[in-house]
Parts: sequence; structure tokens; C-alpha cells
Amino acid sequence: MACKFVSRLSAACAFAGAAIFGAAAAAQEVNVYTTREPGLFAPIAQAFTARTGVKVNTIFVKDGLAERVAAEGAGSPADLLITVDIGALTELVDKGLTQPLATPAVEKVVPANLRAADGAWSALSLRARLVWASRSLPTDGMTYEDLADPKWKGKLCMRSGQHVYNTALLAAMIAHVGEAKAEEWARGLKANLARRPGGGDRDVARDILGGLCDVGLGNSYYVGLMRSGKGGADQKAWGDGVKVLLARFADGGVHVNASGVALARNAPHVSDARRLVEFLLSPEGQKIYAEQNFEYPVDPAATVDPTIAALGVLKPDRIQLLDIARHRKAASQIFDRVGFDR
Amino acid sequence: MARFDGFSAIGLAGAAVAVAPVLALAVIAMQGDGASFGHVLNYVAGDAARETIALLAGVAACVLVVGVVAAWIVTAYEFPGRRAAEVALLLPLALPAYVLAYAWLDLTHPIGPLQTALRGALGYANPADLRLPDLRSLPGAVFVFGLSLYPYVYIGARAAFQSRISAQVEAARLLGARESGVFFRVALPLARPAMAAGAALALMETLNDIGAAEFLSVTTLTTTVYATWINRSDLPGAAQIALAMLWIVLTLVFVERWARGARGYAPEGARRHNPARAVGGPAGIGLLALALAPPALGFATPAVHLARQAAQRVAANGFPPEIAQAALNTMVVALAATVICVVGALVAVAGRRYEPTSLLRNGLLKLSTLGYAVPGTVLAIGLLSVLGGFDSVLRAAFAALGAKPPGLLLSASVFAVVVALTIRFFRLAVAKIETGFERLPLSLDHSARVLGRTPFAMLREIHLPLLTPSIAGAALLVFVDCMKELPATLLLRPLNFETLSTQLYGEAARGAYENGAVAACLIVLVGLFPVAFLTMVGSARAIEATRPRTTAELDGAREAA
Amino acid sequence: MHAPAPVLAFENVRHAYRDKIALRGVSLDVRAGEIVALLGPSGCGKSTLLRVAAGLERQSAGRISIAGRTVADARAFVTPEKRGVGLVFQDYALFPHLDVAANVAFGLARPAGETARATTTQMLRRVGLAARAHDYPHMLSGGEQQRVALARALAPQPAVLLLDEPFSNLDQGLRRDMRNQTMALLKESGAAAVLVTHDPDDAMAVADRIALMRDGLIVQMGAPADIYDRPVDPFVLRFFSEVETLPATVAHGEATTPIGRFPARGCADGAAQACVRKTAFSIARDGALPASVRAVRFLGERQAARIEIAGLKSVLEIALPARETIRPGTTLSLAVDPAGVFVFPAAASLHEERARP
Repeated sequence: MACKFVSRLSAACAFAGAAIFGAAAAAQEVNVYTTREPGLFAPIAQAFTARTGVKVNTIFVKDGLAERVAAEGAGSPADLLITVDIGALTELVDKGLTQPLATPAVEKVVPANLRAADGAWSALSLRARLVWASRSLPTDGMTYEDLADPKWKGKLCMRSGQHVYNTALLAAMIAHVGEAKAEEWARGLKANLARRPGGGDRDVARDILGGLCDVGLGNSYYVGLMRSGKGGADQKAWGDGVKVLLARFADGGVHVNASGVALARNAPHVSDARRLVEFLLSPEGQKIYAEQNFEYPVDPAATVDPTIAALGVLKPDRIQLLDIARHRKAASQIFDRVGFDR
Repeated sequence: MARFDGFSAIGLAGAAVAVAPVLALAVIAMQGDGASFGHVLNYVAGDAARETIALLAGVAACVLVVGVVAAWIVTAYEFPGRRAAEVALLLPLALPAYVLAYAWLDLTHPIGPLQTALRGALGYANPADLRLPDLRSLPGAVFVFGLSLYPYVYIGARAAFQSRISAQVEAARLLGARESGVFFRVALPLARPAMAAGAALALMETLNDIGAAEFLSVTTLTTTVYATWINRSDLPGAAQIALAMLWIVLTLVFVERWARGARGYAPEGARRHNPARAVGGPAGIGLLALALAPPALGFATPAVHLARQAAQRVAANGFPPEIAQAALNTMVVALAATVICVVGALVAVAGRRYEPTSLLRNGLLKLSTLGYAVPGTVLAIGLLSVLGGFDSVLRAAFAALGAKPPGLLLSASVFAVVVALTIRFFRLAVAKIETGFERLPLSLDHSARVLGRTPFAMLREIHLPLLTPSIAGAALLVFVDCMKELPATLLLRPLNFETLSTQLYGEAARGAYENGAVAACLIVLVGLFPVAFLTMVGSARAIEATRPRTTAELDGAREAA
Repeated sequence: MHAPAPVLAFENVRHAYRDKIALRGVSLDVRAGEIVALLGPSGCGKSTLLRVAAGLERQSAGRISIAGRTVADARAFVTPEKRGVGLVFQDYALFPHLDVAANVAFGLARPAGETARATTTQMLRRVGLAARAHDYPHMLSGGEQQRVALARALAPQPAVLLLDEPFSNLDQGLRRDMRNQTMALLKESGAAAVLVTHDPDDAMAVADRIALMRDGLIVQMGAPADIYDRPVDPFVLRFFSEVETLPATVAHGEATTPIGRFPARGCADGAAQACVRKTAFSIARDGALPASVRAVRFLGERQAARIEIAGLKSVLEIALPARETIRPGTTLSLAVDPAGVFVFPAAASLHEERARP
């Protein structure tokens, strides 16, 4: 009786299996694994499909992109790997999960400091880490170092120190002043916190508006998302309620991080994948990054969205993206050492 | 005298599936050098462990108080609206903790509607002039998790109150005990096993959470695992910490077993009539208000907030087209995992009952419930390597035969998602079905055996019909949790495959909360299906308490020692 | 006269649970149509013996055979569903989701054909419940449930019927009726029946033979009257009647006690104990035993008198017919029935004390 039941069950499973297993195989398609939020990537993918007829399949994976591609191995359907953080991108390269992009568009469009010399990866768009402040405050010429000044005691809001946006900033600080001084800075930030680190960047704007704190850190594109009203009426009020400053390092420029792309090592659709990369770097693609996502395009020739342009002219820091990636682990450990999230 | 038959075979298969990802994790952990562990131990573990323990203690107290008091009110008293309250108390199950956290943060923020209204009433102009405690704190997290998870305790406690203690409660009242005395001296001790089981489930959920903790600025060991893995690219280190955490959970499980006491702890009481005391007038309204408070805070308030936001979004941009597909995907995946969980749990628990002394079956049952103890993403990583390994072996086999290697069969498939959900929530089904079995006297089994039934026939003819309410309850819990699950689904799903929770997360991750609100509302709606279904099928009691009364109960007989 | 072959046979059966030895070597034969009662205090192993016979538990050692076929020994084990035994539980274990007829038909061949239906109807008629065929168990009284359980166990016509404390959930009046009905049904069925009970009245009323158990062993086995009249030790005696224990000295096959001299066959000379049934005393004008009454309690048919006797420090309690008028403070003249006095070696008391529940 039990055997009959089990055999019936397995027959049913086999039938269902035909529908459940196996990756779909269409003629013209590109498979994109991305840590970019789906709502931000969909407009570009749709434009690409409209232009070329090539279907774009995406999966949004927050954590574990590298692990997934590695586990899938030679059978992986992944063509392009797009991350929102340079550290995650170089990790993919370091783990041997990629192959050279080898498309002329990269060298033609992207400045040398925003791509790998060997073509292993390329940035697609940039974002800046900015100081957001209460509208009533005098904050001219503010540096990241200033945020550790005791005058901001009890007035600073930030998200978790273990979030990549903040570890990347601290990594850049390490590149500027060395680990010891960077740790001192992180300690200063910790001492100034108005509340425990947590939530997202937008919560910083909301908290400033709510009188919980006076200054904070947030990314440039959030300003655009909030002020444009795309995030709804509430968020428009938050965005309009804070002053946004292009902060800089004392001896450098504005901290930028990149979202970027690499070609998967076992990509089944290499040529269509390259076409997608070319599209992402084309004037049309870069325009969507700027207009839909409020990011800074990597193509110096492309224009920035007016909301972002109104913040001022971006003078990116001189620290190389690769250096930021290299100091990421040390930065994460410093935030632990100073008990930042405690 | 353990026999190896179908029960053992299925149990073995289930345990193998459940243990494989944990073993894979152990292998990954062994590749590390221990440096991360040292760092975490030196700088993070102390505080994170303290915070984790404080959070767990707070949540335990909260779910126990809310769950037990609510269960007591709706079973010990009869008041207008009691039946509605009985069902309403289940509603927070339909809302993921991270959604609850998000909604409450929105509502209680200094510039949110509550404080704005309060300032208006008190005449303050500036938010900075009226500082109220921030939800983003440990007490805030306890509040949110407590509201979200108390139903685990409520369900078990209510069933215990309904089916076990009526006679004792009556006796206590006749002996002149005051109501508080009846509650503390009779009801509480008798509901102890159910309370322990429910609280353990709630604490494991808390420990597994990452989303709500992030919203609420709480640093737990789970968030530490993430920092190690994501920011330091040190998966082995993360795996080491995750495995260390497993001990905490195993301790929880042990404590639960201990608190439950011996099997058959609470005698079956006669239940010829309901001892609920009728309460009318203002006191009845007071009871109703008390019973409705948890679902009002844990469900209605946030749900209304979400619905309003969703309505704004739909008015502005129309109904998101992809959401119907996501809802369908969610139901398919959750349903598949639920069926496997319930059938598997039935076989595993029955297998052990039929051979209670079998170390093999006891062991298999324990192993197969391990998945509840592992954070979703960590489990998913372990599962990824197992399924990936399987796929590469398969490809190698095809290549060796000279055939064209296929793409991925198991990795990155709906199958992988279903397996992960099954492993994660198997324990829920087991816990529910175990308590159901515990209520059936063993003499029923023995009679069926002696009257010519094999164990399998007995399962089908006797236990299945008698366990229907427990099975329904198990299915409800598993389904709702599968639907809400995020991290494992997010990491394991195939291309272009969205569920409601991944959809919601995708929107929330870029701050388009209104868009997320539509998905969140649908999660609630889909989650209400099973609750509504059970309510229709057999009144609210169907979830646990409706069951044919055994003869033993009727005579008030005690199981012979 | 030839003895028919046993239908159910236990040969030197031993069993241990994880931390406790339950059976220390029990041998017992039960013949067709015979009712054997396993009697003893709780924990004596009687229920274990029943479970082992049914196959619900596999014994650690020894052999069990049913109708000449070995069903369990060191090598073979026949699962319960293949043993063809009937089992009636203390809680009756009726299936609550099945009606009375379905319960009774449960053990009959499936799919239920005409024969099965006829058997069910006939069984229900025999237990007097034909009218309740479509009621559910919870709608029946305790006695009715017990009868359904019996009908269910007997319907497949098992060669062996096992009953585990079948009367213990019934009140006194009902209990007497059920004993008689059960005995009639068992005799009618011709099955070899084993009845487990801790109540000597149940055992004596129903059983052809009683096996009295203690500590995993059968202490004494025999017809009810045999065991009652010739207990092998104080434990057995006390199981059936209330006794008082007195010091005794044995010399030349006669015991001297504070209440007189009694034959003490088989006892070595020296110190011994005399156990006397409380009912062995009677009031007699020419009685040899003067006793002063301390207190009297009315017990219905009898009264309990606490008395003092010369040469005995402790107070004795005896049972006297209720019609006698006895007042505290008076002196009675008593006679003692020698059939109610049993002399045992003094050492036995040690064992006895340990074995009492």
C-alpha cells in the first residue's frame, strides 16, 4: 500500500517536474543577475528589448549573487552580472566568475578610472555620498571629516555602519588618511550619533525633518527620487525638507561609488550580452540612468538630470574605485571595533 | 525492535534533504581560518549576543502574555463578539514582521500621522519640541515582534484551554477560586506545553529575522552574520557564526522540550459543556476591547495604513501588471511547500509514534526539523552548493555519455525554492501535528493494529480523519509563513520569477514604498484565504479544537499509567 | 479425560523496558473457552504480558504461541495485525469518527460484504445494541461503549481475546451486570480469554483460573477457590481479604498465637507469623477468646470492631456481622474459624512488605 502511494506520488512529481525544472530557452535573450532593485533596471531592459528584440530576463538578488553564480557553475544561465557596489563587482572578478567584456564601447565611453584595465568590469553609473542637513544650518564647504567634529554631538543620523554605502565611504577614508586616522574618524561619528544607526538613507531625511537630528549622510540619487515625487507625496516632502551638500574629503573630492557590469564566465549568450552592455553605455542607455534613476552617467558627455544638476557640479574624489574595494573589509571591521551599530 | 519500513525510508529521505544544506555550510565553515570568528568574538559577539538575548527575552514575555491572555479571554468567557475576536486574533499571521515594522515606523515617526496629530492637539509647532520614544529601539522591536508573533502562542494556548482544562476550571470555580486564581493556578500550568511550543516558534522566527531588525536598528547575531559575509566577503566566517548560532536555537528547542514536560502531560478532561462564563454589559464590552487590541495593533492599524498607500499608488499609476503573476507564483510555491511539509510531517510524526523507542525515527524527526533554526539566507547558501553540486554531477554525466549537457536542473528553479521553504518550515508542521497526535490515546492505535491494520492503513483510516483539525492548522501556519518568506526565496528563485514578498522587497529596497504597499496588501489578502477557509469549514475552532471526542474523554477516564 | 492443547501459550517470557524489568520469566497456557485472569497490583507486569501477547510489544526473551503457531520468539515476530487476537481496552478505544456498526465491522474482512454486514448485525444483537448501530461512540453510556468494544473484538472470531481492565471504568451496579454478560459472551465465543485486572472480585467472578502476579512473576496460579483457600504466601492472602498479622511460635506442626493454637503444616519450628482474616472471628457464648471492645464502626452488612486481647500489645480490627449489638467498653467472647487462619514463616513478611504497592 505504502509503495503504491509512493510510486503514485513520484509519478505526479515527475509530471509537475516538466513544468518546474530547467531554465527556459528562447532564441534571443540575455539573462541578467543583478543586485540592482528591479524597478530601477526594468526601464532600461524594456528600452533595450524595444530597440533590439532581444528579451531580457532578470533576477534581482540582494545578497549572495557571487555564491549563486559560483554554485551554478558551468551550467549557469547568467550572462551579465550587474551590481550596485564596486566591492561586490570586484569580488565577482576576484572569484573568477567573469570573463573580459571585450567590447569597444567600454573603452570608448568609460573614463579609465571607472573600468578595469583588462576589461574585466566597467562602471555603468555613479552615485555620490552626500551630506544632508537641516535647512536652517550654516553648512558651507562641509567635509566628511567635519561630521566627526564634536559640535555635531547628538545631531548625526546614519544608516548601519555595515551597509555598503557607509563601508565604502570609510574605505575611501582609509585610502586618504590611513587606517588609524580613519578609525578615529569613525569613533568621532559614533560619538555624534543622535540615534542608533539603522533604516535606510531616506530615513535620514525624514529624521532631520522630524527634528531627531541635524545632519546625516545619503546618496545622491535618493535626493532625485524623493524630490521628483516618484516615491510619493510623503517622500517629496522629506526630500524638499532637507538641504543637500556636495561634501568632500578635506584633501579631495566627493565620494562616489559605482554600479557596474561584468560578463559571466559561462555566459550562454555572449554576443547579445555585449549588445546589452553597449546599449547601457549608449547615449540612450545613459540617459535612462540619469533620468529614471537620478544617477550620474559614466559617459562624461551625457547630461545629468536637472534635479541632480541643481545640487552643484560633481567633483569626484581622486581615490580609485579599486582602492575603495580593497579597503572594504578593513572598513567593515573598524565599524565593528568602534561599536558603531551598538 | 525498530523496523526499517516505508516510514523510516521517507524519514531518512526527509532528514537527508534537511541536513544536506547544514552539512554544506559546515564544509564552507571549515574553509575559513577563524580570523573572522576572532574579530566577531572580540568586538561584536558580546554586544550582539546581549542584544539578541534581551530581544528574545522581551519577545518571549510579550508573546506569552498577549497570546495566553487573549486565548484565556476567548475561551473562559462568553461575551458579545467573542467569535469574531477569536478569529481576528489570528490575523497578524498574514502580515510579515518587516511589513509590520515598516508600517509602524511610518505611523509613529515624529512627522508621521500619530505624532503630527498629537502635536496639533497639544499645540506644538516643531517636532523637536515634543520628543517621544523612538520605535527604532529594543523595546520598539519587542513591540513589533510581539504583535507579529503572538498568534503562535495564542493558537496553542487556546486549543489547550478549550480541550483540556474545562473540567478543572469548573472544579476550581466551584471551590470558590477567584477568576485570577483560576487563571494562574489552573489554566496556566495546564497550558504550559502549548505555551512553550508557541514561544519557541516565535523566538526562532525572531532570531531568523533580518528585515525588521534592520528597520528597527537592532543588531543581532543574525545581522552580524550578514556583515561578515557581505562586507568582508568572508562566507566561511559567516558560516562559522551561523553554525555557532545554531547552538542557541538547539538550546531553545531543548528548553521547549523541558518546559513541555513529559508526553501526555495534561490529562484529557471531560468536555460535556462549555464552562465559558457569560459576561454582558460594560464588562463584556471591556473583554471584547481587550481581545481585539492585539489584532487592532498587529493587523488592522498597519493594514489600513498599507491599504491607504496602496490606493494612492493604484490611483496614480494603475495596478502593477506583474503583481497578478507574482500572486499566482506565491500561491503555487507556498501550496507546494505546504503539501510536502504536511504530508512529510504526518509520516515522520506517525512513524515515531508507531515505533516510539526507535532511536532512528526519533533522530530522523529531530534532524528533519533543523531547518527552522537556520536563517533563510544561510540555509539558501547551503542549499545552493548542494543543488549546484548535483547539477554539475549531472552535467558531467551527460558529457561523459557524449550528450549535450543540459542547463541547470535543480539550481535556480522553482523546485529549489520549494525545497528551501519545506526545509525552513517543516518544523511548524511537525509541531502542530505532534500536539494533535498527543491528544489521541494510544489505545486507538493498538485497537486498530490488533483488528488487522498495518501502520499505514491505521494512519489512513484512523489517524488521518481524527487529525483533520491539526492538519488544517499545520497547513495554515506553513502556508502563511511560506508566503511571507523572503531571503531564501530571493536568492534561489529562477529568472523572471517574482513572488509577492520578493516584489515587495524589490520595491521597498529602492524606497518606492507605495508600490510595495500593493504587494503587501496582496500578501495579506492571500494570507487571509486559509484563515477564511478554515473559518468557513468548521468555525474558528476548526484550527485546533474541533475534533470528535474520544470515549476516554467522555468518561473522564485517565490514560492508564 | 484429556486436556485440550493450549490456544495461547507463554513460555518463560521475559521483558524489560528501558529502565525497568517488567517480566522475569512467565509461563502460562490458556485453553479454548477458558478465561484466565491476570491479577495483581499495578506495575506487576500483567499489562505487559497482555501487550506482549497482542504483539504491541516484543518480549526480550521467551516464546509466545497462538493456536500452535509461534508468534514471537528470538527469531520470529508476527505483527499485531496478523495475530488474530481480539483486544478490549480499559478506555474501550472506540474510533470516535466511526459509528457503532462501523466500529464493530472494523476488524472484519474488507470490502465489507454481506457476510460482514450480517456478522455486525448479529454481534450488535448479541450485545443488545442493534438499535444503536448508527449512533456514534460519544452518544453511548459507559456500559454501552464497553459492549461495543467487546462486540468489535469478538466480531472477527479471534482464537484469543485479551481484555485490559475492561470493567474498571464502570460503576458498581453496572459492573456486576457487565461481568456476567461478558462471561456469557466469552463462553459463547469459545475463545481463549485473558483478562487483566487489579480487582480480585472481577477475577473471581469471571475467571476459570487466576494467575496472581507480583514483580514480573506469577506467584500463584489456580482456580479462584484454590487460591482463596490455599494462598502460598501472605501477599496472595492479602490480595483477596483483609487480614491482621499476629506473632506466632511453631512447634511440632502447631502454631501458638495470642488468639489460640492452629495447625501449621510445613512450617519449621520457631518464630512465625499468623495471618487471620478479619472475618474469621465470630461471637460465641462458649468462645475461648475474651476481647475488650475499644471502638465500633458500622459498615453496612458488617461492622468493624477494634479490640484488645490479652498478650497482644496492638489493637486488632475484626469484622463482625452487623446484627450483633456491640458497645465500646464491653467485653466479648470470640471464636476463631481455623479456616481463616494462615501460618507462614516469619521471613515471608519481609518479602511481602516490599512487594506491596
